[in-house]
Order: sequence, then C-alpha cells, then structure tokens
Amino acid sequence: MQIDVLIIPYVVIIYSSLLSVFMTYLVVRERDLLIATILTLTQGVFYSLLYLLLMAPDLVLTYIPVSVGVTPLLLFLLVKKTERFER
Amino acid sequence: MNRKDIALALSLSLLVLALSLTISLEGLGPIVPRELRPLGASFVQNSYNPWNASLTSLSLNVVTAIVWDYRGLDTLYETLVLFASIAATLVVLRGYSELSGLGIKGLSDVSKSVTVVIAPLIVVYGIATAIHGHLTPGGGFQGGTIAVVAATLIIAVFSLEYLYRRGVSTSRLMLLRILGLLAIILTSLSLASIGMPSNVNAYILQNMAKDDSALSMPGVLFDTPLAGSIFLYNLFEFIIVFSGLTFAAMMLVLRESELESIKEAAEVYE
Amino acid sequence: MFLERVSWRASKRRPRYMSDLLASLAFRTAMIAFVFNIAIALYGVLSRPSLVKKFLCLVAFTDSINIFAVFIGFRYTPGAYPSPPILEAIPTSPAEVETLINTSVDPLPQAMILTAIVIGIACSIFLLTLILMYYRHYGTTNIHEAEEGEEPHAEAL
Repeated sequence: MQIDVLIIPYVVIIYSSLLSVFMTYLVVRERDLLIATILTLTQGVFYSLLYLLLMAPDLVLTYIPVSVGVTPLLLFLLVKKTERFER
Repeated sequence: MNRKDIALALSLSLLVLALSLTISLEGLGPIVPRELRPLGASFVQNSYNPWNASLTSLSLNVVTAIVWDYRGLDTLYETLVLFASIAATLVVLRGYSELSGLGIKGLSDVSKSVTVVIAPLIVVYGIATAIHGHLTPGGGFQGGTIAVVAATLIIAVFSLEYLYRRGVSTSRLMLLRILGLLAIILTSLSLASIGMPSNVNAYILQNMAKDDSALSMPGVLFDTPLAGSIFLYNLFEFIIVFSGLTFAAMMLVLRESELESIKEAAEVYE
Repeated sequence: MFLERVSWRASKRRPRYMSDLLASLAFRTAMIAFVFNIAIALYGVLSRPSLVKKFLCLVAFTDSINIFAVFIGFRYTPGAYPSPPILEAIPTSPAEVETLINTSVDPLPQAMILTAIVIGIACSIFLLTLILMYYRHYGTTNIHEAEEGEEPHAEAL
C-alpha cells in the first residue's frame, strides 16, 4: 500500500496540538516557577511548529523570538529577583 | 471545595461547551474550508497586480501589504499602543536614575566571546528580514523582535553596564523611538503634503497611484518591486520595535541600588 | 433509519484522498485542543494565587487565542498542501496570481495576529514591571498573603 505524503503535515498538526494541551496543563500544575517558565517555552515551540504548518511564515518569524527568546529570558530574571516557589 | 471553585468550574465548562457548539455547528465557517473567504481572495488578488493599477500595492508578500497598505491605519494605531505600553513602564518606574560605573560582572568568558560573535549577526539578520519584508516573509515587526533577542542576550550575558559603556542608554533609545514614530507619521502624510500646495488630489497613507490621484510612491527599484511606502514603513517599524522593546527590557533589568532610588522618589512624591 | 442517514452521508462525501479524511480529523482535533487550552489557561489565571503563575497562564491564554484565530484562516486544498500567501516569481504573470488564489491560505487573520503578538510582548513587559514593583512593596508575589499582611507604606500615605 502506498502512503500519501500529504498526510504527514496533518499528523504533525494533531500531534502538536494535543501535546500543547498537555503542556498547558503542566504549566498550570507546576509549583516551581522556573520549571513552569521552561514548560511555557516548550509550549511556544509547539505553537511555532503549528504556525509553520498553518502556512504562516511571517508569524513564525515573530513568534519564535518572542516566545522562545525574550519572554523566558525576562521571566528568568524576574523569578531570580522575586521568589522561586509558588506557595 | 468551596463555592468559588464550583462557580469557576461551571463557568469554564460552559465556555468550553459554548465554543465547541459554535465550532461544530459551523458558526465560524465550514470546518474544512476549501475556498478562500471573498475578502481574503480580493487581498491575494490585488496585492501584486500591476494589471489593476488602482488597487495594487506592488508587494509580493500579501501579509505585509495588508499590514501596511490596506489596513495601514490600524497598524499606525497599534504602533501607538506599543508606544503607550512602554511609556506606562516608565510611569511605573518613575524616579529611576541610571547609575554607571558599578562594574561588569556577567557570565563566563566563553559565553561572552560567543555572544560577541553572535549578537551582531542576529541584528544584521533582523535588518535583512525587515527590509525584504515586501519580497519574502518578514517585515518591521518580525525584524524588530529578532533584533531584540540580541539586545536581551547582551543584557543577560554581559550586563547593563556594558551597554551603557557602548553608548546605549535608555534616553537615547527613547529618542530613537520617537524619531521612528515621527518618520512613520511623516511618511504617511508625505504624498498629501506634496499634493496640497500644487492642488493635486492625494490621500493620507496613499501608496500607489489611484484613479483620481496620479501621485505615487516609487513602485519599482531597477527591476525589483519596491512596494513604495511599505519598504519605508518596514524600516521605521524595525527601529521602533527594536528600540522600544530594548528600552523596556533595560528598564526591567534594574540593579538593586537603582530600585532603591525609585523607592526614595516614591516616598518623596507621597 | 439513523444508519441509513449515516450511510447516505458516507456515500455522498466519499473521500478521494487519504489526506482528505485525515485533514478533517486534524481540523476537528486542533480546534477542540485550542478550546481546551483556552479553558485550562483561564482556570490558571483565575485560581492560582501567585502573580508570576497568573502571568504565565495569561501568556498561554493569549497565545491560544492567537493560534485559534490563525487556524480559522487555514484551508484544505485537495491533492496538494496549501501555500503561504506570498508570490514567488519575479516577473509575475496573471496566471500565477490566479494560482495563488487557488492554493494560498487566508492572509487577513495572519496580518491581524502579527501586530497582536508584538503588542502582547510589550504589554507583558509592562505586567512584569508591575509584578516586580508589587514584590518590592509587599515582599511576596502571593496575593492572599499580601491581603492578610499589613501594608508597609500605610503610614506614609
């Protein structure tokens, strides 16, 4: 049986959208704010993959620096200045 | 399990139910759409279309054409919102004074030498993304956010003191930001101000020539499409986003002694 | 009777490609996933006491809404994967513009979300500054503890 190459992007869409739900759940549950920041970053990676598959290259170029570069870096600095664990 | 939790759970499940119903009843359009919506189709058709000269913007990238030509006024106001939100940061941190001469700490030597090589490359890549925004994926917003990564990297790996010694101070970034905003407003008014003295019909935010207005921004450079004002807008928006977000990041990464000066200023104000 | 209707629908919409079936599954799964993302992130914003955690959930919330809006502009083109809304050839012929209309995704949601992301990061930096000043004022980022403790600046006011 010959496999259609076109199904691969749709499989990746299903996979990364389901994993992003799991990541959001982990972000809400996590008590350590540093790890929660890293989980938000991971969710950003899945979302940028989705933007790429949704054929939005402009949004990929904007979203990767914002969600993987600037926001986690500033959040690390904020967590260092305030407190690390949520009570 | 108190009353608040129950209300929260009920309202959130109602939200999920309502949104799912809206989607499954095809309230947001067909679930597997096969055709473009008419509005989107007309944008795609007219974005680069020299055969329909009154509606085209001569930009190969349709998204950039919508951002800076068809919905240009929206983007102008969104630039103002960006300006206002960063000005709000300045209001919260009032009384802030730059203290230089505190010494550079930063990370290890290895990360510093790597950052010295990488950071200029990131900035150059951001500028290239910004000025090719009408030909390839990219534009002012994209290039600006890419270049901000270099600035935040320098702040994290070196320190604020390194930026101060290189002449990057918050007041200069603020000046750059205001100049960029002014340049965007002047570009949007340029054709109208040329046409008004000589009594020629022209519009604000006009890019290409219209049916009743012969004035036009330069559409083609040699044999490459330049997309008129879109090129200029992308360049100025790069300056605004880069200087604005770098400014905000520098305000957030204050040292303890500088934060003390804010507290003293707040007490004096009260 | 119900079975008849189902079989009628199946015969009416018989998939020609294997990707046809999978695309419809992908559209449904992704939309429901984004709805759940929105709900979970909103739960985090409303229920968690720590301001930093509220901020993280707010970022997840706005990102989910953004990607939901972009997803509405996505489309399915039988036999090929859709292309980004960007013309490739210089010089361009009218036939290439017509091909782009038949293959590209909707550019309007992308243009709207593009500016929303950049304004979102500017507003996030403002919120981070507010959280920092809150911590310096009360000594904690937990809103319940700050409510119970007395305000340090009460006399100065």
